[in-house]
Amino acid sequence: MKSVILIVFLSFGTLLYAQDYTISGYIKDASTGEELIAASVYVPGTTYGVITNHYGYYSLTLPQGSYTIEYSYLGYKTTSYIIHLHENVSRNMLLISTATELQNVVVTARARDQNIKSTEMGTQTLTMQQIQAIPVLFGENDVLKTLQLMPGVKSGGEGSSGIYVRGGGADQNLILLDEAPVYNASHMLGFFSVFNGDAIKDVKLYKGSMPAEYGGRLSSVVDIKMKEGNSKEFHTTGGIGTISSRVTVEGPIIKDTSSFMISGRRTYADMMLLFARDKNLRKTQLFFYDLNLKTNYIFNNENRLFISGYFGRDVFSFQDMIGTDWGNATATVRWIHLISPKLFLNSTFIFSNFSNKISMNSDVGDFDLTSGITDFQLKEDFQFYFNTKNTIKFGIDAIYHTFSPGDLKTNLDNLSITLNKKYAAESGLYISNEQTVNDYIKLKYGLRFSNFTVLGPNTTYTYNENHERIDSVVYATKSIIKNYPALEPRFSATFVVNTTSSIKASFTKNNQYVHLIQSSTSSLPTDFWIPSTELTPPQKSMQYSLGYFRNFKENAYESSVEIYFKSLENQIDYESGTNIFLEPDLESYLLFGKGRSYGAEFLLQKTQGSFTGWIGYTLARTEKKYTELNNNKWFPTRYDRKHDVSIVAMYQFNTILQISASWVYSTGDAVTMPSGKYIIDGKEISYFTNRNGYRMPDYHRLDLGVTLIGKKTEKYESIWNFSIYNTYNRKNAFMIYFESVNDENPDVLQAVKVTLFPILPAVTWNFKF
Amino acid sequence: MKMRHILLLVGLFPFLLVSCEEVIKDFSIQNADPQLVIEAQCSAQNDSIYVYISKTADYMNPVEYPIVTNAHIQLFFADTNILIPEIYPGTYAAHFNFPTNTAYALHVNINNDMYIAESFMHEPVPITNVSTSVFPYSAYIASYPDELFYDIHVFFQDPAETANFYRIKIWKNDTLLNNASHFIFFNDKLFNGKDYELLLQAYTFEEEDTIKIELMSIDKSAYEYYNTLEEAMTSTGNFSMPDNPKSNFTPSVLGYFMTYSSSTQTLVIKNEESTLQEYIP
Repeated sequence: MKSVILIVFLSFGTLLYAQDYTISGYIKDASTGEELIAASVYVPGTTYGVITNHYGYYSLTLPQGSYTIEYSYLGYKTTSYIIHLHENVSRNMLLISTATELQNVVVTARARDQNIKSTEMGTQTLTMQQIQAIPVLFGENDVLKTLQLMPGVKSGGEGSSGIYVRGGGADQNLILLDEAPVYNASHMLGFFSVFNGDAIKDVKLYKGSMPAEYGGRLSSVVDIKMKEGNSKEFHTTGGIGTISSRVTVEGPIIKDTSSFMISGRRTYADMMLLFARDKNLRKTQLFFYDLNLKTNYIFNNENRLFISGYFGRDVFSFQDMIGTDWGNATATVRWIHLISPKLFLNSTFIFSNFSNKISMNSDVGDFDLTSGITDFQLKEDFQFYFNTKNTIKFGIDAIYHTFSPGDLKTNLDNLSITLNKKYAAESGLYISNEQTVNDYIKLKYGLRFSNFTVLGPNTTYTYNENHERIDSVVYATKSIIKNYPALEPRFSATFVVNTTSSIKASFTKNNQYVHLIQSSTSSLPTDFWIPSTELTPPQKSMQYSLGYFRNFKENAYESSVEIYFKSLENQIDYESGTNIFLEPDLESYLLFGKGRSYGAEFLLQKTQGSFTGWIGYTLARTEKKYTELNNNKWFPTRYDRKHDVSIVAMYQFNTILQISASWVYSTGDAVTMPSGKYIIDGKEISYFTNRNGYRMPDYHRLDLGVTLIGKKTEKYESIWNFSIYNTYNRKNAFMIYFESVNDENPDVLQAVKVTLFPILPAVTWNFKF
Repeated sequence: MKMRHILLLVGLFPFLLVSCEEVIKDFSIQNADPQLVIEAQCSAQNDSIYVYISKTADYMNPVEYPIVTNAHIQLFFADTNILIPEIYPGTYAAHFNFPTNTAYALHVNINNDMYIAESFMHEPVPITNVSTSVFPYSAYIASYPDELFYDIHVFFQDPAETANFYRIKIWKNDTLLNNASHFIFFNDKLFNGKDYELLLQAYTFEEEDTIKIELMSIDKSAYEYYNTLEEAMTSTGNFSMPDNPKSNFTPSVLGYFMTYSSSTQTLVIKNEESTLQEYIP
């Protein structure tokens, strides 16, 4: 640890003073005014170069002199100009999309050889054009489902939008929407993600070496940015799909100074029920909706304000008997201030809430079960473009969490249960430096200090083996119950072998203080979050990775191999037979185990030309071990899939037609099935041996998509999108159960698989005017 | 109430319209070696103890459950111990006026391997009243338009000073309702010391059916066994990781030893207005 700090200071100390000047500004799309993230600014023939940050800002410091400066971003016309640099220059650059004729279907990606030169490894970037072109279930574009096609990212099963990164759990992804954490990123039990593609501008996934500015989750960061809204002219885009419709309106409030974007989506699966013969079915409600809002105001070049929000809900009700209502709400207020051309400050206030309500009415009484989590967060992030060789980031953040693990309200006086709310403060302090040591070596090193404070009011208990309370301590409001401080070093290095290949290595340590308690391996709205407490220690992870990156044919083809090893501590499970709902002593039932995950990820990608796509392959293993489970032996996790292949191909025939295809193959999920049976209490009981000792059959599936521009004029655009899910109708097993072969021998069983989705065509009509 | 089952069903509902099922060939069960199973129940109600000793069988085709004979079984309680003889192959039984509020220990010797389990027999908790009413949502269950569904209301006074664990058995015309959905057990965590009304929902009865309710006072180890047994009974293994139930035998075997006392009441279903019958001990 000390050595890392030492390196930071040494590198500052050895820097020679020179007369340097800074050129800085924003890079934007010329037609919409949207800032471009990770666009590149560099001086050809030198190593001087930088990419724009999350807000489209760049700052490049150069010695006094004359330079040709080139601005580029894939899918946009490269623009360059000559500058004689003898003072600090502020230069905003507008880039023209080369795809203006075909905006929705051209794949763009990051700058040319960035994958070789940058210190980033274990990261994936997706553009909305990619997400829109890839065929998906019901034609419903989905950010998270597209990420599942990347090596190292596993899906949560048939149709699921859940992502499991390098053996991590469902709760170990930090999913950020405009910097606000989204606690439950799925709709309808995980079949759809909450991210409406129309409102999203950029998606970045960190699988391994997360930068020091991120913390709080073990396995990944999914950083999603919403569109700012067109600051030049009004546009309405939308679509009518098989299961949902969307509409987005964006435009300037004050041209080039202030813009807005408002986007909504609603599904109508339940509309089909309106035609149901049974009149009770007609009264069933089953839908979800999302609403995204964003607005910004540019005061001047130094100050801009952004306000964005998300609200989404799942609604289900059946008769007056049962109803559920769950979803997320987030809000972000961000002020970007340039203290100097070299020092960028981002101040953010964030609100995030996930809440869940289940209502039931019966003749004994009415029940309302609610649970949730609410966050208030403040962040100060500085980005200091120190000189041509060093970019320093530092900052602080603090979150105030309120956990509501469960509240049962009934109209019966003796049955209401309220589990104590829990309060905690999670804070972080970080510094990192990205340093170009010489033409061959680039380093990024940082340190994050995180601290989790469990706060009162609360009453804490200690338990005996029988889960009985043996002692209690009452804590007053705002009193400190427990502190968990931790140091998290983040380190990555790139060794550039030559212009087309590099070797990278990284090391990351992470701590996680909030934990998702799940009642099954599928995502249910009844899953709830709990904080670390004096009885529930933080989850910890360490990850080492090593990669080789190689580009071919003038960067037209990118390839990489990454290997990783990750060790996990304090992984949470609970004892068999525990009823996790409304259990006030839940913590006494929790089990803490170890985990390990390792593997190799291969990716070959073509990002340019009319034919684009990638082949990804992951060879991996993920296991867990608990003293109390499986006789203290290692067992595979559900999504431990040894082989995982995805092939994605997109071909642009001409200006009106594009086809796309994706094929996925993976080893079957690990499941726990019986290995015998016996009679107890007159009933047949299954006998289990190894936890997750069985494998579902292998999974594979081909999806096809066609995008056809129906009509396109200056003012109006109409695009048809056809897709076929599971084209060759593979009967993938969603679940397996056993039933009697026939009535004469009821004891003789056969295995029956349930297939969820057969071949399913879908059509979506998109418009823009 | 298994909330997650309801939710799973609800969420999958639109997709089940397109789902399909078929017999699968490329999936097979690997049968484990036969494992020892001991089930022992000692009842103050029936003044009897029954011990069944067997082994696990093939999951897909359990031609027979192997029985274990010639076990030497002894039951220890208060200052007494009794031998439990084998009355049929694999079935061991004895009758005795078993005292309540007493600790019991069962010693099972099979080929010189000793298996020991302990259980505490609590006092019975009397049922104070039983009634039935028509389940109000009968009409909406479209699949059974002509059936009437009944709710059973069981009233009893939970003792305040102890943690109590219960199981309920229901007989319809002398037949025990014994499938997984009729497996009812609970503790008094939510109603300790209260005059409690337990509601059992949606039973199909007909007029003149005789219904017998048995309220069993079980001990904590039996409750924990049942709690973990339920998962092994109902889980398909598709969405959870089921485990074997938590036995109170040392060394651990499949099965359990339980002592219990109980109280019963019967009633006859009369139209929609069911009436309480006399208490029959």
